[in-house]
Amino acid sequence: MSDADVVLRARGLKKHYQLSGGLFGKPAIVKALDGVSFELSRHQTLAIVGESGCGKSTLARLVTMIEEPTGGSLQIAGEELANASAEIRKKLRPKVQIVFQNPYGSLNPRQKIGAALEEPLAMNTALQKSERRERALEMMKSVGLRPEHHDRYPHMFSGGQRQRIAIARALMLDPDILVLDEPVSALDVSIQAQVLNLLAELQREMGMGIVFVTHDLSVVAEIADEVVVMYAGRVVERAAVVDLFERPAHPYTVGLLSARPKPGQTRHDGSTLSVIPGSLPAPHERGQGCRFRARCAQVHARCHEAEPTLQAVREGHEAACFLLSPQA
Amino acid sequence: MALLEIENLTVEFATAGGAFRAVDRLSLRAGAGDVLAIVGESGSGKSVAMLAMMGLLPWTAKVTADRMTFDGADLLSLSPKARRRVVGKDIAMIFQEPMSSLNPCFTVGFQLGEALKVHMGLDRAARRARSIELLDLVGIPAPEKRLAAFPHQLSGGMSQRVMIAMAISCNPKLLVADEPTTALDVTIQAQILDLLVKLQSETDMALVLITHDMGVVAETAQRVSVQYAGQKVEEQPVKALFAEPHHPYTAALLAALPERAATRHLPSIPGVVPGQFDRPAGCLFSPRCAFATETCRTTPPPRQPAALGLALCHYPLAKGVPQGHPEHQEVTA
Repeated sequence: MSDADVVLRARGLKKHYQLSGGLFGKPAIVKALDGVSFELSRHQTLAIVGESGCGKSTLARLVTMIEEPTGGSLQIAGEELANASAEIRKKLRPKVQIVFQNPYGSLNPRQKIGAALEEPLAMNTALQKSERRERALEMMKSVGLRPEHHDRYPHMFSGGQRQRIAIARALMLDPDILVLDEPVSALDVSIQAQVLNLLAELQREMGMGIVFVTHDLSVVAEIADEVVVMYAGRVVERAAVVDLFERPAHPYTVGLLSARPKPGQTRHDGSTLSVIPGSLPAPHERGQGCRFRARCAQVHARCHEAEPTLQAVREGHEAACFLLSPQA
Repeated sequence: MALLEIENLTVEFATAGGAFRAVDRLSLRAGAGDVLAIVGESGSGKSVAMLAMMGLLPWTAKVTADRMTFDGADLLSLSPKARRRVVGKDIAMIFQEPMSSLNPCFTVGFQLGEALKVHMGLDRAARRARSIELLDLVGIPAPEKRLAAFPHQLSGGMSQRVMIAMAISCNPKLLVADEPTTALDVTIQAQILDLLVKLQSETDMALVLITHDMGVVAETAQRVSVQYAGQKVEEQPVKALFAEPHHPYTAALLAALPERAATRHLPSIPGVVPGQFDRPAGCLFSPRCAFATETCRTTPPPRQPAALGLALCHYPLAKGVPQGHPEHQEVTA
């Protein structure tokens, strides 16, 4: 992959929120995202996986420029965002688009589908009304909607169709980066497969890089090239998708993979779900040391003292765990 | 006689556009110690069937059945007063959204105690002791302290544990769990499923698990009933179902799972579940079925024998081949 193809690059990205500590208390800081790095090229799909509260949606909000990072560097299409002027930001915004989790909440119920699709063109291009309509119809066709849907309202569509509309709207400006925040978790299995296939097809045609935020590992195997596993605001493992599923290195990833119930494998075969005890630590309860230590089966003295950093396990595979460097 | 027996349950809702049939001649049986999973997409009537069984549907619903008995008592002719003695005590339910099924205005202890007071007639001290015991049973740390907690102070997994504690508080004979883990993270989901199965095997209650997740089904159920557009289209023991689905819908549903897909392109089922106004005359799955013929489109399909998974189909699959289909060869065993 040549460097010119890289559309998104994050280095040590941080987002800290300040909470009021009350009248006399010191303000508390929630480190929602604490030093995250990754790269995304055209035609590539990067999956961000983790539980609720691990910072994956915060990451999506930073990449789409809905919120500002508090530290680190974020480059979109080669432009550094940290001290970019308002003008550059405005130029970059159309290049990053997002599809949200809930297709019932992300469409304006009083706006016709056609108008929703044409709005980005009206805001960002100088196209005539008839040209905009033509583009909208073209896009509707490529996501599998019929021309007569142009003048309908969102309530007339099913969940899967609405998600198609949301995808169409995100792709109207031919973005370099498409961020998908749990795009199929609200859909039924048979519809989920339709939408995943559609995304893969559109990516082949249009070549955008996809950031796929999800908690569902089975969906990841289907669509991603590379996977980033996050835990409590940090990356704990990063690998190509096949490598991650076959040779997971971090105990959390191992736990996630085996906690997933698998169709066809039943309890009556003697297989049981391996359960990760406990839940994600609250942001102010993390303390020092590895963030996963309270739930880890292989925890040892070092885990309580320092926080492990990402290190190479093999080519293109990194994990943050002390077990990988068994030194004194 | 089984604990729960339902024969030809039909639920119709009166809507502005006429009667809408949400559940269509559904038959189910569950005995003590059974784990039955009901699987289907949204709108397949799986929750409505269970709500009808418990008498929790609004007045717009018209419930009819040839037979609906629980523990020998006829649920159809039960007076509201008698029903209230059964529901919440012998039949308990866990709902999908733990966050919204607890009352935000009352403490966990109060809400747990309510059922104990009404159904078991325990006094204050006994209620408190039993509540602590229940919270401990469902794996909540420091239960004495949690009694005073309000629902907003609990995480999703904790709330669901409280709901489970509440459901099992009166030692129910039947527990209905409606998508108990859908709103939870995968690591928490594994914990909750583990807990449910453990409780079920310890108390020998019957568990009816409503879900759309085939992974959850495989992990917990003994028998699976697959529902489509209000009808039961197939019923099989869990292993047999995954090994050899007999209804084309079940087969397609299993093939669409990312975990089972052989290729990168998922084999998806085209189209959507029929709605109120586009219900086909024949088989309800025929517009989406790969094997549909003219017969399927015009004639409602027959119920196949148990050897073919009770499939509701003209051409049930055997080893992936539709039997009796004009364009496919029979498999001679």
